[in-house]
Amino acid sequence: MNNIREFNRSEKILLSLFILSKGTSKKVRFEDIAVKAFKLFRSDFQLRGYPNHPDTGDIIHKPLYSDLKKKGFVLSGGKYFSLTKKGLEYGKKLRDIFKKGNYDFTEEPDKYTKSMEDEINRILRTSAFNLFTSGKKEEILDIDFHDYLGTTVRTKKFDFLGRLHNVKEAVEASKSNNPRLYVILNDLNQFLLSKFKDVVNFFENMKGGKS
Amino acid sequence: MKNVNTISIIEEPNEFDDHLLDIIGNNFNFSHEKGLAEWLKNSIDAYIRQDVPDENKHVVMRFTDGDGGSTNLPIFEIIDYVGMTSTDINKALKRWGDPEAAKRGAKKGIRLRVYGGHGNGGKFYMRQMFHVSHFITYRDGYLNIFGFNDHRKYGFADGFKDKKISPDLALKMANIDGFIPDNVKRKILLGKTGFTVVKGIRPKNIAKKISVSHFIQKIKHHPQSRRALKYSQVSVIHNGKLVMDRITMNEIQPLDDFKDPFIFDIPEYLESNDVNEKKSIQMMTSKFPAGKLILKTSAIPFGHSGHSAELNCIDFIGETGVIASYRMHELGFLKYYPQAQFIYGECSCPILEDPDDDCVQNDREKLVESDKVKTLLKWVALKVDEVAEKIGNKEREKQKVEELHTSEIFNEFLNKWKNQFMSKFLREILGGPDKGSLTGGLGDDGSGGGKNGKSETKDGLGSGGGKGGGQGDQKKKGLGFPRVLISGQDDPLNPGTTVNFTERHHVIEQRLQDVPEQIFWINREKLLARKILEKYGKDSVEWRNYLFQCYVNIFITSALEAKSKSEGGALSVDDAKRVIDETYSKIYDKASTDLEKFLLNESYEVKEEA
Repeated sequence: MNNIREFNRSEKILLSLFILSKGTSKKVRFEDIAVKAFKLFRSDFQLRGYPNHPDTGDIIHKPLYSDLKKKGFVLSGGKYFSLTKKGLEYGKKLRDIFKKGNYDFTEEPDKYTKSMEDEINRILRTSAFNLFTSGKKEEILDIDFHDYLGTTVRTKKFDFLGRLHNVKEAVEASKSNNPRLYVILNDLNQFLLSKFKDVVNFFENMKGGKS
Repeated sequence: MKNVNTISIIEEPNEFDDHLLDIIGNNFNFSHEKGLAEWLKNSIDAYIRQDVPDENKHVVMRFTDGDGGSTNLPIFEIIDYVGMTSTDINKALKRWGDPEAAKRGAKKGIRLRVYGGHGNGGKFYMRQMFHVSHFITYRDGYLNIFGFNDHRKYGFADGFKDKKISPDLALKMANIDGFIPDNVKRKILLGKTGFTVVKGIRPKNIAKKISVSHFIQKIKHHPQSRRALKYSQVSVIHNGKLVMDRITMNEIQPLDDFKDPFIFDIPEYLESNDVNEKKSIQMMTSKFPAGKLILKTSAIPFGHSGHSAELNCIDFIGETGVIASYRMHELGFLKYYPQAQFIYGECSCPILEDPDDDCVQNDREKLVESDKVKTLLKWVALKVDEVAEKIGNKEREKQKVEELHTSEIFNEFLNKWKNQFMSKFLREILGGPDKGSLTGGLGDDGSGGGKNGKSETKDGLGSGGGKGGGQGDQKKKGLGFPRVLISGQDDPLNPGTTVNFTERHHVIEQRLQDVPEQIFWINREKLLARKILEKYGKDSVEWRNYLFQCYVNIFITSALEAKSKSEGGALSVDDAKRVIDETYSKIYDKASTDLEKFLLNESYEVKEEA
């Protein structure tokens, strides 16, 4: 089938983090993740020319700090990483496939997961949602936008982008669960992204992003 | 035989019992200042009828104290240099309730705008408020004395109707010879003009001494006399001595920010106030043009009481001068009443004098309480509120500038304290436990200021001039101290603009561009901040504590961030609680000694060197 594929590198790192944290949001050291990924997927994470040594360079660095954060799977602080709710869900899925001894899996359309449900419930309590649904959308401030995303102005670049991604994904997935609510949430999301385009651009163009 | 439905009445003159005058007169309920204002207006009207220019409209108010007995009684007099003939008296003065009374006897070709109205005020004042009263008037060589006796009946004095006498003798009889300006006296002696002395003997409620200055102050501010005084030369004599050369109105200086008057056109239609039935009330017709409301400001509030409070009003101006006057609180509910105390004005609305729906009352104090008047008053109140709101906004702006100045001083003090004493603490929480691993730490502590130990100036501050830290393998510049500013201040990242937040923004705010610069803003628009400033003031211990709490908030945020960073981006509730408790404890312990006076003393002055 067309949508059967192997784990990509980010997924392999995520799985390593999931196993190391024992399926919790406990923090894990960067070096431990690098070693675990090397042990699980030696050919992918070995130091070039030194098959018995793990690579701790960009091959593992970039997915952790960029791709996985942007998708809202991990949080980082210093050289420690932990899984978000979404990361835990996805890590569990990867672990289950991996347990079967075959890490090819079928890509499925986004389901309305528990973490998404939590995200939507959180959004429903935000001032942005309340103002928007009570016809006062013009009163929505930048602080409401951050509240909506679960960020602040101090949030790091990839964490911000991760939150943006997660919220968008949760809103999309709510379509299957509650189509009427989805229409409102989608309108709200579009409105906020348009109104606070500058804020999004600011984070997207921000240099660095590690924390 | 005629049908009873088609009969026609043969009109006869009305007949009244004099008792009717008592009934009406009682309603006048005169105060002396109001009565004197009526007399004054009559005198000015006499000049207006003769087309005398303002600078020659001389009027004298003469007051003579009594001795408390029955021989020398207190006397009020008002003197003008125009005079009346018996014809004037018979056709105008004797008639009650004649709206044209003030215009009679005018020079031909003059379009009159006299102050008098219904020809009642001055007469009723004479009749109701004195034991006896009379006019001594001289014109065209004839002296007439006309007045009210102690039975409140009027008539000419026996032997003094059209008494032909010389001007010289007339002046002596009226006892006004001694103070008439020379040019006026010459005219009287040449028969070119005359004079009238209106005299009230034993005024009601005054047995002996007349409080002249009190009366003058009241007359100055009385709506019925203000305009008359403005355009005439009124002097005051008390017990034969000139005590005031000219009564002048104190010029009202406007508020600096509102020097120009606010002018509002009264709309053609106004919505009535009736809650049950809304209707449009017509405020102009082809016959009665649109009115205007002119509002002006006073640099000093008129206050609730005292003479100047009388000026805190809207005068309604009609064809014959002030037809009513309403103090601000009489207009109806004013949302910005404190600011309305800086406002006064005039409203002209010709339709109020439409004979088919005349809204002018006999005493010209208040208008008739018709729908039209109620609706107009409501509209006037709205306009007053509009201007008052503008004044209020300006006041708040100024207040905020003052607040900001003081707050900036306090804030700078806290900033210095934070930089000096908290550097170690900040290094612990911001630099993190992994010394030199990635990011350079903060500088060393600076040397403490003030005196130590038992010194009285324990609150003194020193400079934090330590050396920069950071010895990690990847040297990077560490984040500097948080810099705390107060909203309303100039934007250090964009000089020349101020940074403001709204009531809905957070207590501590940061804009995106503030983050790398470590700038935090204390949002002065937050409701509690506003309440503290309004209730306790910018210098208060409450406000200083509020500012301090904002600093605590920033420290806690920084501490939580640092902890979160060391925990891989996530923080458990237990960890968060520990950080908060520890941070509070450290800051409070330090502040309890370093900031004791700042936080606990009712008054506190930041020393310049701080």
